[in-house]
Amino acid sequence: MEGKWSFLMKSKKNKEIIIVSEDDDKSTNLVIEWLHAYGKSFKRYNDDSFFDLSIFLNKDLKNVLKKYSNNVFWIRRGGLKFSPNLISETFFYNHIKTEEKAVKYFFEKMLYLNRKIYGSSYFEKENNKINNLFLARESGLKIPDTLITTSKKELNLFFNKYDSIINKCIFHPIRFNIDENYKIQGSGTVIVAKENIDFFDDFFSLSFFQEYIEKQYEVRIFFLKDFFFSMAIFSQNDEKTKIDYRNYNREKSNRNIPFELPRKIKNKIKKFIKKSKIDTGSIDLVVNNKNDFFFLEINPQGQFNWVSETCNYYIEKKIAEEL
Amino acid sequence: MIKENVFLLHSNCMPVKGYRRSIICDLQRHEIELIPNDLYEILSEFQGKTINHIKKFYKNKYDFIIDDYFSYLVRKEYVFFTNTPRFFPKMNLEYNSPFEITNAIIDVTYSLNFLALNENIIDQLIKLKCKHFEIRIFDKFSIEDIISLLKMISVKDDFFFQLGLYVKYSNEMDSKFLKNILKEYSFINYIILYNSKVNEFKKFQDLDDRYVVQIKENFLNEKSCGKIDKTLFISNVKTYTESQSNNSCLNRKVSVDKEGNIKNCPSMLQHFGNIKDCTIEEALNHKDFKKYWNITKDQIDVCKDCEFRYVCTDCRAYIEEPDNPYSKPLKCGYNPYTNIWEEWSTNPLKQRAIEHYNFLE
Ligand code: SF4
Ligand code: SF4
Repeated sequence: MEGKWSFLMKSKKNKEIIIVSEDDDKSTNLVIEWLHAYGKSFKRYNDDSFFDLSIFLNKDLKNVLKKYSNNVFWIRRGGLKFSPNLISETFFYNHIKTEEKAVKYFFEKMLYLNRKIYGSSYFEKENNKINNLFLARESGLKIPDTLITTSKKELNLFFNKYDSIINKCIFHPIRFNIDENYKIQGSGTVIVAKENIDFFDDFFSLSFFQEYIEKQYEVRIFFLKDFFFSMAIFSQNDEKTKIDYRNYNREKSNRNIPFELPRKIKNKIKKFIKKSKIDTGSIDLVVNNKNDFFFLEINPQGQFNWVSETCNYYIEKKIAEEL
Repeated sequence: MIKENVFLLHSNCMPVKGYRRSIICDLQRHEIELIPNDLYEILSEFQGKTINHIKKFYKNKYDFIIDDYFSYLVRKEYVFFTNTPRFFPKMNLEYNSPFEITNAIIDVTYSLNFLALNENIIDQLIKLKCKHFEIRIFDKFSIEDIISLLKMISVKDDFFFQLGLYVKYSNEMDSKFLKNILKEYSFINYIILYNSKVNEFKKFQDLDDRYVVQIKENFLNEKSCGKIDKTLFISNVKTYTESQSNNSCLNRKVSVDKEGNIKNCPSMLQHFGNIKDCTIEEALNHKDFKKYWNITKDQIDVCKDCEFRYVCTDCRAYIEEPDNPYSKPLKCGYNPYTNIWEEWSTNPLKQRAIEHYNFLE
């Protein structure tokens, strides 16, 4: 009995947390302060630091990651990088990166199966809005009626069904640098007007449309495994932030206050988390005047210090305790 | 919707009751608004009720005033109406910090080895992971000396910290010079130039929240500290929550006075060793070091009746009755029983304490 316990103590003591982040990420710094306070040992890898990796495939699941048996990984921002710095300055690095990616995703998956990882670069990089909406629906959450189409005819039918519809990007926000002086940047979510549609050809490139939900308030949830921290965002009073609160209103900030998710919704979100295998991130919901909750999207590497500070949640402390 | 729904305060808007009037601390927008005590009663008694319920409670005698109050509260976005009040919990008022020491004051006077002395102190503070420290330079230092001090600190980048700097104004410290200093030393949070020709608050482009304040007042020594003024009130989550259970000046603070004595605050008499023969950590272990840390405004005479008690800073070094650790800060000119601000230093009732602290020395 005693022997068993001392083994446990020992393995706990030698544990080293591997943090993957970016140089200037404030959320990471805050968690690290608490790790210091708790005397937990950790190593931080920023997006430019090299991680020495070896995976042994002809072993069973546990042994594949033998080398990392004392580590737990927290992928806060970006992902691990397996090329020594010298190589990342060469012309063939782009090719190596795709190879790295394949290994990185596999490595993260192995860690996930061994319960040794929080967060992932895979879900951030391959974050699929449409798939997430689908899974949210499958989990019993309401979503705004959504159409992805190339056809003006379908769009017109969709438009006529609702008071108002919106358009937003499917995967990444638009950002083109035409030349030094001329850049194009998407404005996030926009309302689609009849005139816009009339202007279109019969067929256009794939576009994403959604019924506009007249909202009472929005909810931002940060979650890590079983911890949920929610905040209500009251933006309706303000024309500027009516469509999407990320069009931040600089003059007068929205009211942001602590929020308690109703249990039913929380359970459905838990289901979604299980299905999607995304174990941490930020979820955006919108609540209409009938108190219906609609799932909008999830950002797997979403920030938490805004929610934490505004609602006095000390999320950074809870994360440091959990790691 | 408004009529049948119940009202709630946004939970980051905190009503605080004073003797004759109250305030709402808007912790999100960092504002403080005065409100009558009647309105405070309504806010504290009837949250979660409808406006009609409140009107009925007052037998419909004050409908007009109540409507007036609520249109004000809605305009300021202090309240909202909902039919699901259970979704909106109160804000947690816990205050916490990963480190035992969060802030420090180092008083510096000129000596040949001032650099080495202060390097030792700063190394110790960094080891304690102190995040904010204030260096107050009382003598007139040359610009070169100030820069060598900053250079010495700038090599210690192994932990994130912020510095506030008090220096005596001299003509060379023009905007260009100040901006360059702030740019070069990104750990500087603010610079206070005392003995300036003007009172002025300066911010520079691309330098976010960092600033320079010029004040005419001469900051001769530590006795210039401890003023309470409404311009120093802070309405934010950190200050509000910390002042619920801790002292709003002395909690988690350590100081080294100009003689190298380690204290809670440089103005206090009691010290816990000198930096030459004792570490800050050792001093912290003394049983009396933290004796002021948990004195809250709710325990302090007069302050406990003051509507500003959770947004105000405190001072325990200069108090109205030097023998009573729970008496009001000496350098506060506010009277919560009359709501009048007066000059503290000429108040006849304070002369005995003023003499005691020997401010003119
Ligand atoms: S206790 Fe008073 S004198 Fe000491 S640091 Fe605080 S305000 Fe200044
Ligand atoms: S009476 Fe106390 S709480 Fe009120 S302003 Fe003065 S020092 Fe601050």
